[in-house]
Amino acid sequence: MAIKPDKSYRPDPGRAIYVTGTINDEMVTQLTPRILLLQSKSRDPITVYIDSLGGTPSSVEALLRLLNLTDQNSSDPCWIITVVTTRASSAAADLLSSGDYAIAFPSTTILHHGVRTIERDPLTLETTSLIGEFLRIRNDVYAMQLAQKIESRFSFRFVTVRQEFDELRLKKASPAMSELECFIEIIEEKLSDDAKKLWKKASQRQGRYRDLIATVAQNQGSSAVKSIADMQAIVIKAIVEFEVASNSNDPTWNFRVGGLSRVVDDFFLVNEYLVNSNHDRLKEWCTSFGKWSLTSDQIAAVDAIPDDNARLEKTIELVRPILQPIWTFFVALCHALQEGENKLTATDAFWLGLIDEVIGEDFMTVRDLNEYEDDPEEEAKPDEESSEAS
Amino acid sequence: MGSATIERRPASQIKPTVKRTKELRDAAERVYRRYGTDLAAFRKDIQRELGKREG
Repeated sequence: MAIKPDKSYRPDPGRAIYVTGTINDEMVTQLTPRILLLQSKSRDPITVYIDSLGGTPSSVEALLRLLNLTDQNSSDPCWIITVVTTRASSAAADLLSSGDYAIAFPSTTILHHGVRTIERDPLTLETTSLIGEFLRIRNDVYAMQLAQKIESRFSFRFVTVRQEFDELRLKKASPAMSELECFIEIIEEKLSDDAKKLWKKASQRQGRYRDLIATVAQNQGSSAVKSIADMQAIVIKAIVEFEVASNSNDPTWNFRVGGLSRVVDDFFLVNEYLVNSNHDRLKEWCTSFGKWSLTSDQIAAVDAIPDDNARLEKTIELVRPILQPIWTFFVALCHALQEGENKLTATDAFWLGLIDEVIGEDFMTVRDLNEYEDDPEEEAKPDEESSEAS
Repeated sequence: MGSATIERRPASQIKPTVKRTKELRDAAERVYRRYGTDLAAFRKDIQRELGKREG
């Protein structure tokens, strides 16, 4: 075998911009001439080096729009490699994860948190309710934007650690451990203490999805759903029953103090689950790395299907039940990243799927797949040729 | 004039990820043909190759 360096995965200081300090409109204005020059010279990858505590999300979006420009020939945008050299917080962390290939130097710090707002005027009950609703919606939007950016990294992480599942089941003498339980436990061992708290938060969120959805499914029955409001009414009724049953041992629990806001939180959680459980992106997961989630026998059965579309459909059919719980956990993680302050190391960011590679760490990366080449003489062997042809 | 061969698309419709997904699928397929689902063996070979370079 040989490794042939691929420029899509190799940072190039000769074709780079540097995002240092606060990201604002002024910085975007300053970087614009350099970006346009690099894009006009060639459509090769552009490296974005980052050392920033964050800034304005709209400025990051403007920067990304600029970096992803096409040209008069409708060329594909330049491939973007993002590299954090020291720290990437807040909006800078979003920029890091937005790279087509995202790299961290060791000992870097990456910080994710939810949307914040600073109000100049005194607050009233009405304004705080509105602000609360606005922040919740913005957090949901950012969570799903982050999910789109990092989904392929996360699914790749799953298929690469999946091989350790059987060993873990043996070690724990627990053959019934689900794929998700194995995945959660194996990744947790690789995380820092701060990241472990985040991982636990995501796990609890996923568990709550499961419990709530089970209650909603029971309550849905055979009644005809006429509109979105009908469906939401079923969900709300189920949540109310769920909360009453869950808190039946606590005589002080009531809806007026805390209970009602919990119902509201649950309602948004169920909605989050329903919107995302059959997401189109899950199909993408199934078709990119999904095949590796199958056993060798299953893969052989899939490969034996001659028609391309039928083969793809069969792959999705087999892979989907494996990846579905991982997908909902992943969505829960993206939402958990928007809660509180989540300070992460480069290694954490790798295992959480926020980045692709940590310089100097011996983790399996997508670069390994792309730069790998078979030896020419081995390809010429007749027995290998015949096995490849099959 | 080569303009007839240029594919005109609005910027919003350009999705490089689709192209990358296909490339990745092909790369994964190539690795699978040699290593099956044993990614640990694949990674080991990569490390060996890198070791050779450093030596």
